[in-house]
Amino acid sequence: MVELEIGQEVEMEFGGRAQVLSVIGSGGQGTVYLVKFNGMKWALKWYDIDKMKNPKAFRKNLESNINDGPPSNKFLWPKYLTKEMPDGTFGYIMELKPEGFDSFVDILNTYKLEIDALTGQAVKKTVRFTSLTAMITAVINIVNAFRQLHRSGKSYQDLNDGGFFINVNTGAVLVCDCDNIAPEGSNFGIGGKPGYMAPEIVRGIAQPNVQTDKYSLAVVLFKLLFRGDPMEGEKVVRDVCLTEASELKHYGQNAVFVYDPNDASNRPVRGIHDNVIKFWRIYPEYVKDAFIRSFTIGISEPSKRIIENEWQKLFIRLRSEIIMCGCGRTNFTSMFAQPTEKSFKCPKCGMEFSTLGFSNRESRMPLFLGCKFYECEINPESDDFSTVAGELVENKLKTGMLGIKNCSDKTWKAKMPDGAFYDITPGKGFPIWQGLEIDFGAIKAQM
Amino acid sequence: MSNEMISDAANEAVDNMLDFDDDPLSATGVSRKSLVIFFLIDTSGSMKGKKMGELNTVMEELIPEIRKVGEADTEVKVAVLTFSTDVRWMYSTPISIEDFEWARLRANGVTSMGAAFKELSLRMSRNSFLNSPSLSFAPVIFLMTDGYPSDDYREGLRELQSNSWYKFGLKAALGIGNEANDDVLAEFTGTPDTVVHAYSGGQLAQMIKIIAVTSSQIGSKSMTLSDDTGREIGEEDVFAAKQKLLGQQIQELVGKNVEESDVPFDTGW
Repeated sequence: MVELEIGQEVEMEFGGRAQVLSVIGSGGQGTVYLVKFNGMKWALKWYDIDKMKNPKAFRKNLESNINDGPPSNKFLWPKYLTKEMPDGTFGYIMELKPEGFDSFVDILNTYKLEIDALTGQAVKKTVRFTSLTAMITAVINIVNAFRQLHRSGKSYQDLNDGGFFINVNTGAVLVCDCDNIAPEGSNFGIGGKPGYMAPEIVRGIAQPNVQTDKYSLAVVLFKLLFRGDPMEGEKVVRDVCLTEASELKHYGQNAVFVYDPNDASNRPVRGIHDNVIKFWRIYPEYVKDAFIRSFTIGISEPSKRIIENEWQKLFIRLRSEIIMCGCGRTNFTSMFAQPTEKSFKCPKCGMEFSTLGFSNRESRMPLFLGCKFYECEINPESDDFSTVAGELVENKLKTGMLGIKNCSDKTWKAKMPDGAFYDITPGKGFPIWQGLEIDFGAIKAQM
Repeated sequence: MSNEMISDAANEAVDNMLDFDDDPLSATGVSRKSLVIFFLIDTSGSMKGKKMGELNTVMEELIPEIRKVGEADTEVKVAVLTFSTDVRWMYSTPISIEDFEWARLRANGVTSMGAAFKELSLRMSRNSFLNSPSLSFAPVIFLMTDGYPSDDYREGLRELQSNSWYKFGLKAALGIGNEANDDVLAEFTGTPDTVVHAYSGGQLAQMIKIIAVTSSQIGSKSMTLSDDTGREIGEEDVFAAKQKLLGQQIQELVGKNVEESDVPFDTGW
């Protein structure tokens, strides 16, 4: 391949030159350089066209992706193409990863290596989510990004742990490596990353498409929550080593989910897969059921895989079931005792939590200082899972009095202890009490 | 069921919630696959001087480059076996690439390649060097020599060939100078594609880097097995796919990197 030299200038398609400053990294399809163009710094992906089946078609697809623009601001999308070199080599530039984002790989490893420029020594720095809400928000963001992409009629094709940057404080997500994204039904040569590829691709009987994206998405979600490989258990570890043939078997022809309820041959092994064993005890049944479906019937029947919207609803529910107890314990309601139908109790310190029941769902939301609900939870028309609609706060003037603040832009009605409903305009709030009822409009809630 | 029994059952459920570290955020790193790279290095007397100086230097420089290869998904370890009159391991177990430090080698004695093959076969076992509990990729085995074996290398090789790790492993070899016999090396690798030859100091450095980096890149990752769709692929389609890929890439890179102007090893001693 034609590698670029530091200092070399590359002509851009619509004029101007990008100057190569340094190498950022390299992957299977080429190398990414830090470049300067129009006074700004960008990332330039420069292809090894010898490894491409059809560089012309690949470039044309990139061009139409650039013209279409990203499905949302969650994508680090190709921005401008370079001119072709005489031998046909080309690349594109995209924005740089913003500060504060870590790669998904580093999150899975729980650390990143920072190389000391002087000594060449690698120093380990911890990478982990700073709150459970941030982690589940990241999951919702990932699911939502792929929902948006698929709605635009395209598939990602190469979904794997190298494709995301995540802010571990907020759960914000950026999807990168968007250059293999193609309209549904097209493929420009990428197969995917082993371990993330749908079994039918591994077996050679399908090309990447929206259905195979759904399988890879389930793997990504499983890895993020359960911190292990959904197909790597006893059956796989028993092999002498991971040869090409054993990968074909364990990830293609005979892939068995580690918690397949009807096949116990590939259970996680203590000492190797401790994360999976532990987290399988923590998550509620409806989350585990979704993964069981994805990795049992979803292996052989792509159309039975969980659709993004279903994942999204499920994780919005999971986020609303997080309890941050005063004793410092943060967990899902599935890990709290339930003394009555309408309350939860911390098994560690004994603190009890009241709940709010919404008219459009069965699960109840635990109430604790700082807990929030979002637009999509009080408005059936809304898909907005990131705008806070209400929050449980302490009254600033009456210490110890807890109430719900209306953070939305609509007026709600709340029932007060005198039995009457009062208008709660945006920015106002009302105390919580045993007989509380709230009318959000289409959705109602009750203590 | 009496009320007491209900509360007992509830208490037990609560106990179950607390009998382990239940923090959804405290995870250990996802279990990584491991890869051991074996370097088999000829330290016989004929390696003395420029060859050994060049080899020591390039191996020191190589370690940081290999460190970059595995970091994300694979834990890479290195084991170095030297052979001259005796065979010796540089360290008594494979060392993680993050902690590995090259100990400079000295040349002396004859070329006991057969004994090296036997020793390698002995250590390439679950009970010895390949005892990582998690999943392992097949090892990379890289042989470097500048002469014809002085012992019965075939007997050693036969023993090695019956070792499953050797069978699945990625094998490459580098002949240094005019005396090294490429046919012997191809017997070791099983294919001439992964045998290369260096006739000068510049080439030696280049070839070592090409082979070590390429083989650890291929060895530390899973392959995308099927490029063609429409037909169900079978075991025979993927057999030794990595070794074939290694052969292709080495040939490609070697073709591009030959420097003619260097002074050959075998002149000017």
